[in-house]
This record gives sequence, structure tokens and C-alpha cells, in this order.
Amino acid sequence: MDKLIRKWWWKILAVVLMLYVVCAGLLFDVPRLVILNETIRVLHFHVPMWFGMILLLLASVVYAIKNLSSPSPKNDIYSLEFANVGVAFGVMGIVTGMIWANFTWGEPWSNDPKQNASAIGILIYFAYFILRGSIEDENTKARISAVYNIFAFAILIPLLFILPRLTDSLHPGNGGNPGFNAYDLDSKLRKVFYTAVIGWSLIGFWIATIRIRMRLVQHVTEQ
Amino acid sequence: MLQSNKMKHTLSIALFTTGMFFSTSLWAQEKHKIDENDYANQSVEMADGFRAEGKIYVVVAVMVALLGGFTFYVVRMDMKVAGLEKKVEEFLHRK
Repeated sequence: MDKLIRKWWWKILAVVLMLYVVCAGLLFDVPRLVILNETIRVLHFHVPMWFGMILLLLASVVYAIKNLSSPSPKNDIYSLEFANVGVAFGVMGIVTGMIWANFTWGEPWSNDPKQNASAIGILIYFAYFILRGSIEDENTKARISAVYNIFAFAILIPLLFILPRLTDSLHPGNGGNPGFNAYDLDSKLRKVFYTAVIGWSLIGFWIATIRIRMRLVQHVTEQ
Repeated sequence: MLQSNKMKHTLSIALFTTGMFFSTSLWAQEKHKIDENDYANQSVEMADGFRAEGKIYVVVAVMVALLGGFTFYVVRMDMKVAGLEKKVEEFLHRK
């Protein structure tokens, strides 16, 4: 990982994929569906925010566990900055979702189970940063926030993927049905959508690694 | 008596299951499988005129420009951090 975050190939890949997503996402033929109309294209920009968030928060929790088994400032910095960018993606997911919902569901916030659950999930992660800020001692901060991180991720998964499915939701793929079924996407949409997921996630990781490297330099200079 | 209670129980389970089955099939009807017809469905309004006039390329150009601009910015940040890393490395070597 230390070597990989300084390599250029995957960053170039991220930009190339995003270039494809912007062009294909705006220009390719999309199914003409009622209510959605042209806004179906938002799929390639709104949903990858959540994929990116989950992947970044997963990376964060992996480094939190690593930090508990072998404590080091490096593991703590990785964990913190992955969470940081992950939450930024989550906030953008909520904002873009509200803009989309205003057009398709009639109001930006309709207390949809998935909207509420994702808002709660983001708030739980906000508390993670407040918790970190409230502890002076570096070792205690790293340990306690790592434990909290694990709890936060453990509650985020049922909040986003299980609870909204137990009830009716305006989101596709909810109300008893798995997220990826034949009804939501077809192969044409999938081609751009999966590229968007990979592209956006790589962009997220890129920004996170810059923040990580900045913190690592800062950590060395402080000593 | 016991027998009929048991039967009632079985009946209610059967009714419940059938109800569940029908409700899921109702769901399936609400769900819409995307196929070729949806791509040709002219009754749904899309930005066809906007595209025909080629104005969509203005939007594409703006978004590509934004992407390019932000990429340039992030690349510069990446290079700046790499520079700092090198400086720290050199400093540690000298010590």
C-alpha cells in the first residue's frame, strides 16, 4: 500500500474512466422512462458516491482493525483519512440525491427509509471526528477511535443495506428486493454505471492518499 | 376440536403465504424491466431537440473542462506532497 499510493498508473486510469463516464453518461442512449426522463443519467453520478463511500469506509475500518492489532501512527492516519473522504462522498451522495429526489419524488426529503438511514449513518461518522477531536493523548485517541470506527461501520451496513429493505422505500431495489436485479438496470446502463463506480472510487482513494501522505509528512516533521 | 384448531392454523398459514405470493407478484408488476422498447418509447419526453441542436456538447465541454481543471489541481497537490516527502527523506538521511 505504501508503494501503491505513490504510483501514477491507477490515478491516470481514474481520470480516463471519469472522462468516459462524463461523455458516455451525457451522450449515450438511455431508456426513455416516465418520471425519470433525462435524469436517469444522474445514476452515473449519484449512486457511485455511495459505492465510493462504502469502499473508503471499508478501507478505514480495515486500518482501524490493523491499528488495534499493531498500533502505529501510520495505521491511525490511514484509518482517519479514508473515513474523512468517505464521509465527504456520503455528504455528496445525500446532496445529489436530494436534488434528484426533488425532481422525481416531488420533494428533496421525503423521509424515505434509505434517506433517513444514510443521514443517520453520516451523523454517526461525524461523531467519530468529534470523538477524535476531544481526546488529547495520541495513543488513547488512536485506540478509542479505532474501536468506535468498527462500531460505526458495523451499524452502517444494516442501516444502508438491510433496514431500508424491510420496509417500502422509494429507492429502487428496496421493499424486499435485492439491489441488483434485472429491473433496475440493463446492460447498456451497466456499462457506464460500473465504470462510474470504479472511476469515482479511484478518485476518492486518490484524494484520500494525498491527505494521508500530507499527514505522514506532518507527523515526521513534528517529531 | 384440537384437530380443527390445527386446520385453522394451517389454513391461515396457507392464506398468508398466498397473500405474500400475490403481493410479491404485484411488486413485480410495479417493477419495470428495461428493454429495447424503452429506448424507442417516443411518448416519454426527453431532451431530443436540445440534443438535435448539438447543445448537449456545450454541457459535455463544460463538464470535461471541470474534470480537467480539477484533475490538474489534484495532480499538482500530489506532486507537491511528493516534493515534501523527498525533502523529509533527505533530511532524515543527513541526520
